[in-house]
Amino acid sequence: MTRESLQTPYGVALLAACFAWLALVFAPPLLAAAGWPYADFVRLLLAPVCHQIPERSFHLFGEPLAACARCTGLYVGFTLGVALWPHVPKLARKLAQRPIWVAVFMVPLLIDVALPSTALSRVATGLLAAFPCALLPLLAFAEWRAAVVRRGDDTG
Amino acid sequence: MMDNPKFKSALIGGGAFGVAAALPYISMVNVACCALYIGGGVLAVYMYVKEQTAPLKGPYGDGALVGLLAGAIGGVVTTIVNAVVLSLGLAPDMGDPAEGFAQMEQMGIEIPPILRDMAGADGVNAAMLGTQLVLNVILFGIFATIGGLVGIAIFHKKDDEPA
Repeated sequence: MTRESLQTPYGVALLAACFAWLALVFAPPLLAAAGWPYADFVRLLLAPVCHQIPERSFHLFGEPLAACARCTGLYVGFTLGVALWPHVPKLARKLAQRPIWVAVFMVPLLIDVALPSTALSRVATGLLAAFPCALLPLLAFAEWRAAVVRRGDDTG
Repeated sequence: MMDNPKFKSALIGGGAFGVAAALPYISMVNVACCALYIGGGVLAVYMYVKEQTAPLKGPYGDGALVGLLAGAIGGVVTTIVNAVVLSLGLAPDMGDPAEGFAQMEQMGIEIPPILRDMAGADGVNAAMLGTQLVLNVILFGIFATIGGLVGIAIFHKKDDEPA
């Protein structure tokens, strides 16, 4: 596995989508600060996937984000993973050889859900769970690109 | 199409978790990191891997595809079951939407006209159903794809591993 194999146009598109998703999370307080009247309705888009309880969310300009601390950690961790995995190919290869570790990194999050938690533990376990997970779509993209190249070689 | 193992697995995973995501109270599990959406993808991939006799050539690509299919199916199933639940009056009583809007306006929150129109009609209406369908298919699709990839990471057996 090389840096090039993990850096595909699909990966760049995924990174752009991740930033767009993060923009949705951070948008309501920023839009509210800018005086946009319907800022709270951006929250509705993420309401089906997060409880959005203000006491469990980070605040910006006195307004809660559109996702709770744990979900914010998951989204930031996934985005960081998509951005950084191509730059650490040796580590990526090790994880790809033992992909079950992706699930192992989710265990602290599950424990944190079950036990009394703090904002710091929620965001930290979210980051830890999502960062390794971000390698998986990059591996899928690498497979697809390899298949396209093989098909090109066969026909050419 | 039913003979296609990817579609069959996606139908089972997406269907089962799609129904769960639409049922009152059970659907609240979803606010815990989209557990039902991700679970749909994991179940679909588990069914898919179980049916394969030889190791997969492109496991992550297959996992993503099965998860995405399960998400699309789950999104449609959730919307349909949710509409049935609403039209039969089985959903928990959330109070009068007009009262809710009045309370929000007192708190200084402006309500877009489209939301008033959607909430104004009793039971199920086309605008609400259409919006829900699009949102459910997109969100279920995204998270079930991740579930599918996680499922492959857990269940896929490599060539050198014993079955």
